[in-house]
Amino acid sequence: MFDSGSFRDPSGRILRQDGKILRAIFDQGVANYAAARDAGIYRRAVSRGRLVDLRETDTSLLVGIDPALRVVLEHPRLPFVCYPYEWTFSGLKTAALLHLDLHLELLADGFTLSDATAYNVQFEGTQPIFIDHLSIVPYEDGALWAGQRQFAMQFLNPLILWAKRGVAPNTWYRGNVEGIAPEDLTKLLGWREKASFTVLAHVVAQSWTYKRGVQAGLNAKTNIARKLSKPAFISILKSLRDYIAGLSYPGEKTIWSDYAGRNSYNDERRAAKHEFVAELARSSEPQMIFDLGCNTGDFTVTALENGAKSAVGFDFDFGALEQAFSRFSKSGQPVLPLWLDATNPSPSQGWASKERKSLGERADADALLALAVIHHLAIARNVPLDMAVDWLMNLAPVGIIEFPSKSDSMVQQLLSARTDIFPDYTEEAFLAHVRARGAIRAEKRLGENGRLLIRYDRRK
Amino acid sequence: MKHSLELALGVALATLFMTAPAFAYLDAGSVSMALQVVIGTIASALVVAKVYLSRITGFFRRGAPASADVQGEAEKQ
Repeated sequence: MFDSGSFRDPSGRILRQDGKILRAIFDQGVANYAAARDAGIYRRAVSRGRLVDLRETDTSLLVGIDPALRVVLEHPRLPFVCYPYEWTFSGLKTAALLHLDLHLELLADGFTLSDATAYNVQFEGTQPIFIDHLSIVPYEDGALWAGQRQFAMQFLNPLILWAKRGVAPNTWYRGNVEGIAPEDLTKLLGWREKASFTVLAHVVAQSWTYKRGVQAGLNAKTNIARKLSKPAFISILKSLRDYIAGLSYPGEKTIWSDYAGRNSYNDERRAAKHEFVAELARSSEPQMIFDLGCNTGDFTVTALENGAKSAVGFDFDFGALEQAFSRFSKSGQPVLPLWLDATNPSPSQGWASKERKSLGERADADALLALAVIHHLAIARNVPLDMAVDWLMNLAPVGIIEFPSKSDSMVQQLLSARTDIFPDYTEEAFLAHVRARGAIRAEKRLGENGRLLIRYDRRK
Repeated sequence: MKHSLELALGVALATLFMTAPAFAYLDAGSVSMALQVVIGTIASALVVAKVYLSRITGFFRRGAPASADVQGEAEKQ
């Protein structure tokens, strides 16, 4: 009944019911909710594009769920729920800036945020949006920033690791869903990175105080009431904003960013491939299309221009994803580029292994593009061909799979440094596996003896 | 210039922790709170310093006073 990831704040819970996204607000949260609503906080944040929209609805929708239920909100459904460990560098950076901008605007209106979790930010295309209305609470004079350590762990520290050390934090972040602790990050930074107020204040000093606190252990004395003036609070947020705005993606040459220029097809074949993608989009008009192995998003654009309403582009190359993020930020097209290792997609994890859902549980695409993907699964990563086809076709009811045979130069390259242990990797076997799971609506060969494109439909 | 200023304040912050471990008796959470007040004070000083710095550099670059916005920002602090 309740969303398995919305239990941490006792003031409310999220529910999905009959295709609607509802938020139950309980006794504990109703005063803060009413204060923010009556002060026009939600309306202003929604109109600025910072906060997901809300509408009060009938509490009888959720009758009997809890005697403490006071208010029910309905929210628009987001195109796709994603997690910070799937974000690109620019995704994480824009989410961090959204969080800080929202917080600064709230402080100006006499409100604040009760936490700083990155899981409260989602995306519509490349635009970040805040989703937790109940973490907006009235500001009390002298209040400290409750979310400082959380902000560092979930936004700042992963960005520092990425920008300053060139290490993508995603696998670490996925392992520890609370983010990267200052006491871990500080060991990895050199004096040059540490010679900054932000790093000293939010990483080095935090790490130092954490260690001192742990050492003090049971001998620790009681708290001393501390007050942080509002101008000082605002200055902390502004200085973090300046620092994060100045971080940039380390300019490594990507594996795939020049793919279009050195792959094995020419302009004519590429045009034919675009047309095949366009036909899929025209015939299925998907609300959501997944582009697996999206690279910089060329074929995603074709899908959108021919009827797809929104898209998530997955790739495992961060450089290509950065370019895709920049491209769709500029164009404003509703495409969200996300990081994915298809052989190890995001699992179901967190509390009771349910707090953060697996990719499979969140995948609700109407159509799939899997162009130049299957040989990476079947040959580079030894996934049996039938299992690869099965996984791909389960992502969406209709879609396109591109099959490069062993004679393809890219497959040859994959096989060049290893023994060919893939006798079953054949076009005949591929087609048989697809037909076992659905119908083949269209086929297209890209040039003589070239790659085979198929459009499947598993609705039969 | 901006970086030198940050560095100087950063070093001041680091020195503070090396020479005055006054928070050692507090638990991890409260120590972090005490630290936040120190960080807030330095961050405020940095914001003011940056505003004045931009006024000074703006004056020499353009040979004219800084904009009203910058001035207003400084007065708010």
